Amino acid sequence: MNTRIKFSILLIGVGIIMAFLPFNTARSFQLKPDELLSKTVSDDIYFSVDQVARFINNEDTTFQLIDVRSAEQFKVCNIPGSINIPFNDFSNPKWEIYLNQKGLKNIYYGNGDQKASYAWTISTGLNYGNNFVMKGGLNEWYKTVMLSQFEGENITPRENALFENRFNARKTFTQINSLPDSLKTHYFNAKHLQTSKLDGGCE
Amino acid sequence: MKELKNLQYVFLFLIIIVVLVLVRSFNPNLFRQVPGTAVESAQNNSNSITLAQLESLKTQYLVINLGSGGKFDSIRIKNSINVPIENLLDKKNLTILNESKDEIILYSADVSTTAKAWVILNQLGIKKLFILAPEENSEAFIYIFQPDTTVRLENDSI
Amino acid sequence: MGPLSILSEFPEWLNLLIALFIGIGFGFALEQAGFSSSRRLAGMFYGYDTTVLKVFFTAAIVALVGSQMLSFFGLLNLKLVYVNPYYMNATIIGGVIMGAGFIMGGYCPGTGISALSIGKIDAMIFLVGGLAGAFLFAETYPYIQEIFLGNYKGEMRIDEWMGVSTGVFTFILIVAAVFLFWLAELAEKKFSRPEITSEI
Repeated sequence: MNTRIKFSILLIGVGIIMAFLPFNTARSFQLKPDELLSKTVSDDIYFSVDQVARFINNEDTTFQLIDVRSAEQFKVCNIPGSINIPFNDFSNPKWEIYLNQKGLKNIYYGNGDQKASYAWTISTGLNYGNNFVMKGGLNEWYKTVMLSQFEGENITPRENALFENRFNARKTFTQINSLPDSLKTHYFNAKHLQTSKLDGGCE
Repeated sequence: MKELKNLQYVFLFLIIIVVLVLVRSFNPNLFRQVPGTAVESAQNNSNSITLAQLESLKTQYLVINLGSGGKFDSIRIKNSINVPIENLLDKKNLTILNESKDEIILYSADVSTTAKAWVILNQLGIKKLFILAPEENSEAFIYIFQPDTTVRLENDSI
Repeated sequence: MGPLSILSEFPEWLNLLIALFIGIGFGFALEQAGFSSSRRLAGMFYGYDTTVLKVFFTAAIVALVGSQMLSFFGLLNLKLVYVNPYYMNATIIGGVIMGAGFIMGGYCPGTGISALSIGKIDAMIFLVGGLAGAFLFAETYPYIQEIFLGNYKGEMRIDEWMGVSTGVFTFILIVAAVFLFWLAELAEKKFSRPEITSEI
């Protein structure tokens, strides 16, 4: 019963314990359930469509819009400047460099709130950067930004600013989405290329 | 005898590790699933059930209403209990959810809250979890976008 | 100590200080194991001294078990731990060159530095040779770039490739390690060279 045998028993014992570890936490959510729940009930994870319209008009570069709809729906029309990460493909590791960064805010939107909220919860659970949801999704965007008109006679300065914001965003949306397909694909690929260049490191 | 005593230290160490592992694995406040399962279950709305389908469902079900305050949101469904979202992970609620053999259907006035609660519960390992499809705010695009073919961006002044 | 979640809030200088102490500990361990002696290192190839196998295998197992256990208890975020990307061509060619260098010189880079620190002159020359090789690599990089970057497999991990869970792979590795240790003991008896082992 010399040291070698004791050492071997210790190693094999530890190995057997490891083989029977019940679950693997390496790929699960990094946040604890109650932490994730408290983030869920807080209100400052939403951006309204007017706020997003203002970001687009100001060409704000501190955020990225993520469209979680399918690729066909994205091609028909989408908010200018957004990238497409279809929800059905969400667990593909190639999207991780877009999601897992602390520099840009991630704003998810779908047609409604459902898929965007799924994406938000999964990203926040995995402790990826700052995650937000555009409330109402593209349906709300269309209703408010594209189709709303000013009714009434006198307009207050605040309403004036609001509608000017919407008109500018409406114009950008129509113009970018009306580009012929070839130009559109170039634009999106250029955006992808830009982001992938950031992943260099010391290799 | 001295060798046997040294061997006891080895076994003691192994037993301590086993105990720690067991304690950790029985901790209910832990996510055990891989996010891929949530993505798969939620694909193509396969976790969503409409009100009409619910009323014709033959199996037992339990509806959890996630609204808070006094507003027991408009739909009256039998077999529904009210669990405000802040209290979703309380011990007694978690026991109800874990031990229920019925299908569990989440619902609230705001589909965003329901969706997030669904992901959290799915990742805690609760099976047979569905959401009640909302009447409005669905995932279909209800407008038609007309491209403006007269757009010539290169003529715009910068 | 970034990936350790309980310690990840440390300021940068404290992380670097901990890294310094870890490095000192590593050098100390290498020297204590006797790796400053080139004869002990070369013994791994001739069979009369298998300390290298035992020390490095034990280190690998401790690291594997330790990181898996810490991740299980939520203390270590394994996603933040860097996994070397796998370039098959580069690994094979580099492995052959390093193996040849190891047996000829009797040191590998880490043990070369630990031997240098006790004043061995052959370690000094060995390291100069190593640096010359690195310089040559950088100068000829445009010509060998294609070979170097060929056959990229991504960040492959054996347990994913084999399709088993990490725990099962750890068990397989430990069993393999114990078997190899036993084999190493047999080899030491068979290839023993008492005239060398009594001196190192």
